[in-house]
Amino acid sequence: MTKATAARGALRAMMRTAPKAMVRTAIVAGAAALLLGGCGGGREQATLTVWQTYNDEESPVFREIVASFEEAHGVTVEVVRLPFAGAEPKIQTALTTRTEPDIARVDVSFLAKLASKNALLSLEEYVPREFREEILPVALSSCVYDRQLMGLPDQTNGLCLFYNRELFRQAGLDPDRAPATWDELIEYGERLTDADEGVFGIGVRNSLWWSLPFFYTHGAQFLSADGRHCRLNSKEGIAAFQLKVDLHRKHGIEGGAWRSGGIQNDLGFQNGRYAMILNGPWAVENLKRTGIDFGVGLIPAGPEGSRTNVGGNNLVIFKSTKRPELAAEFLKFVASEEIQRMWATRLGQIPVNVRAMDAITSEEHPYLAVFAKQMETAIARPQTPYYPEIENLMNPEMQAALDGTKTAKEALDAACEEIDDLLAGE
Amino acid sequence: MRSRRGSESGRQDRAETPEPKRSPRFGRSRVHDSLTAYTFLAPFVVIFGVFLAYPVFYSLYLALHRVPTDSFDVFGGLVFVGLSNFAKLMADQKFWWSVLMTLYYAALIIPTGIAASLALALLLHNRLKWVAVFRSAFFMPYVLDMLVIGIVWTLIYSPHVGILVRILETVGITAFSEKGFLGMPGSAMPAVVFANVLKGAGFGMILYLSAIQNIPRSLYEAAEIDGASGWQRFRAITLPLVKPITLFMVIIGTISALNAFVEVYAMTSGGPNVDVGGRALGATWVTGYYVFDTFYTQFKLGYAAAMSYVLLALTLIISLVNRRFLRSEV
Amino acid sequence: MEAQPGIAIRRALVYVGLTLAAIVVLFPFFWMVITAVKEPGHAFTAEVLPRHPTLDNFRRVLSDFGFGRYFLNSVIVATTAAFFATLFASLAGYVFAKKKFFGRDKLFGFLLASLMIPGMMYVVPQFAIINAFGWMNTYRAMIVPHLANVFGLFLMRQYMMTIPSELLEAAKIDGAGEWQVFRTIMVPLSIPIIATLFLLTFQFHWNNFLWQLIVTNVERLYTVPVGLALFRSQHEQSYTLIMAGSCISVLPIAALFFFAQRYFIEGMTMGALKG
Repeated sequence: MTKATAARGALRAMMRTAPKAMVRTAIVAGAAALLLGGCGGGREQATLTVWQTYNDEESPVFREIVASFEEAHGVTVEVVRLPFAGAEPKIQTALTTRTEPDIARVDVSFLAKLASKNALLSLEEYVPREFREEILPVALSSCVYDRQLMGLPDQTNGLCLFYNRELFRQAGLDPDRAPATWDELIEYGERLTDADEGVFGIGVRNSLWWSLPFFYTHGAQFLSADGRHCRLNSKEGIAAFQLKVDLHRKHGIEGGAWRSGGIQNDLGFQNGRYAMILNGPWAVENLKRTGIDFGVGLIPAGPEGSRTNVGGNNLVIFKSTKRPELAAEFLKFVASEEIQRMWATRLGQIPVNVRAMDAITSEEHPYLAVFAKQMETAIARPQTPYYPEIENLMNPEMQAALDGTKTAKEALDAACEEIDDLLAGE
Repeated sequence: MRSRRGSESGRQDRAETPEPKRSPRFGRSRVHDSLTAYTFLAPFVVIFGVFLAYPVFYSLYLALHRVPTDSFDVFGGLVFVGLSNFAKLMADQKFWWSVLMTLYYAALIIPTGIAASLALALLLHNRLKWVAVFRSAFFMPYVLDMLVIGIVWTLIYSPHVGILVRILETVGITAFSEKGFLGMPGSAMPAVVFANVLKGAGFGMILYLSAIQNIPRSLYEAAEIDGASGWQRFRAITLPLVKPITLFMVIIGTISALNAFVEVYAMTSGGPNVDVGGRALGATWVTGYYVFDTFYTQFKLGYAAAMSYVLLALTLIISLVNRRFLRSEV
Repeated sequence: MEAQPGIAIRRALVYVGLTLAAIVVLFPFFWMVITAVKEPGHAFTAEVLPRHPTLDNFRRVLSDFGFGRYFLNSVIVATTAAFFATLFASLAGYVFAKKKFFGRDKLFGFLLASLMIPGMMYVVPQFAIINAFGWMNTYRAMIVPHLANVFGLFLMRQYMMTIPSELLEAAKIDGAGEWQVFRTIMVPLSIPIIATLFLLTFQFHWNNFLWQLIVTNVERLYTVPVGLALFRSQHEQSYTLIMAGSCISVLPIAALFFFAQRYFIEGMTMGALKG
């Protein structure tokens, strides 16, 4: 009646018919898989390894660039594409055992962290002054840490104002003209917003990075010159942030894109929920594919004019590399006029090399031309290894103000106090 | 076995008496047994020793150190800081908040998880067609990746256009329409818990189902003769007899709740924020997520390790309290 | 005895309950599939039946991303790891359940305590070991560190304790050696828990992301979760692609569950009952 008794009865039978062969085969097969599994070896040793985080459109183009570098220098370059989400943990883990690659493509803020921990090769002696002059100054400055050149930009971007031309038309606004100032943006927003329909004039993201255009157009500084103090709670900073809060709370023209779990601004823009958003050049291709009729304008001007912050990615060389000259050649190759021209035309991105800037014509790249212009007044972020931590401290406070549980000043004061503690410690 | 499990006294014996004390004397068969034991244990213990024991001690070591500010050398170059990681932790408001949120999370997820599992099991404990189909259906979500489930739920929970707020709007509930379930401090944690309970309920259901099926019918029949109502039968017979499962669920639930972070990572990243004594703190900022953030975003391995050990201590305490509490009852 | 109509009503109510529960529980599943056939950019819409359903996401996942290779890697890693983890846990579980040896309970306690340390704390030291062994870029690196599955050992021991010791004695009297006893009695009688553990470890490895990324520096060795993560670039998440990829990646594990279901149910229960 029970399994136990049944088994007892069948004991002898089982001992004879045990699936001996089956078990053995399985073990052998498994062991074989384990041992043979490591088919990683057997390749020729690459002279350079590069870890990159390009997206689906960029990766194939990057491979072509690598191929032409290989041909020109008679070397092999091994390229590994990492998912963006795991790249930083992977690089940091690799660094603990000195198994990092020669070259990696890293976000602007991660560069500072790597440099502060002495992981990067200084390029001061490898990149001559003439070459540096070819690079977009604001992008180049994102590679400078502690007055040393620690990488070369391979991609730069900033934010501009995207607007939905169809919604502009419906609201009786000129579909060819973005609001030039913040005051005008509020005016436009009020005409575009139809809260009952869930349509809002603008959607803004919460995080510090996405708020910097507000601060910079008001002339607020981010950190003090020595990088030890948060300056966002200055008079200008508070006014800037107050404006952002007011868009939502006072004017009711912002749709809550800053909430965690809210409709993110690009998706809201695609679905016609937000008539305007701030976004970067990476969004252009995707938006074109969705078929919305949209335009791009400069960031609305504040007291300090129209200004964006700078993002993008840099290529860096790790100190442990055995081929520093060759690695530096590779970085210069990617940032060169020729390659940047190709990159800009093929992918519609802002070239980091000023000589290639003429590849962006307003006829062929109407959107990108606006971005290129915006970059002229862009402001680089101060280099601090603590940028992610600063975001972590700032974002909740800014959200509290957007939520209305704190005033703009209270939120910025609280955040800056914590940030000062962070920067003073260690 | 089955018959033994059926008798009530046998069940309580097993649940409550510890194994008889073994004599310290080692006979010949003991030595032989030990030798066999070590041979059979070898593969497991070797791998454990190399890949887990060393890291356990290493993280204890880490907890007393910090990663140097000027390098990534976490093996040779660690800076000894004594107990200062722990001292810092004691004063870290964000950490204690995270502990609070973790307890809140556990307090929500353990009972609802148990209730949902038990309810599903009771529904399935009927001689009906399609039971096997329903059983598979309920279990299905368990095999999915939490990260994927989390992304699906962010879509479902999203404000304005999300399917859930749209459904609620049709019955006149608009409280969530603007901010979405994950965007409001009050609903974010319950929403994360709900998603997780639906994923895990199938697992608990299977445990309960088999336990319920092992309860002899005669017990119910006797109770029915005594005039006990369905609810009384459930209270007096079913609930006590599935207690080992409940205990198991509580222990496993505690361990996993205290380590939870993937669900938070996938759905809320610790937000949305609430104002606590002038500080903005995340309504889903659980300790597991704080450890993750400290470890990977900040690369403060020492601090993260210290946090892990405080968490471990808490887990142990809570498990012991649970055990005692659940055992003494009945 | 209740009247016939009462039973019919009750029965109907149970069906209604079951159906409602199934709808709620399976909704995320359903939504995953629905999202996978939506056009890019429409992931957040509430359309239950997409206005323009498309299989393009599936096509892109399968053709543009080398998904086949990732899939093969995942199958190799998850199967091998599940096999050995289950084997080692059942060997050790047998010993903890049926043998008396010096230091048994202390060892078991220590093993269990390791369960309570967050898994990410293991990553850096484990990586250092893998590296010292020269195992980078191998399947071994993805598999071996996870072969000592403590939770599995716990389940195994609990289950095996319910197998009557007299059976083992009887076999020994018949002249069976230890290995024979294990293979011909313990294993056949523990099939439910073995199937269970196989499924659970398979699932763990099938979904493991960060570790598998950290120990591979060649895309040829990427597994499905790593491949899926490539759909999330710095600025954009291709939700529809992620969902299509997830739909495909859930298939093997769902199939495995359907086959192992019966054993699984039995195995889980026994393991837990003694808890």
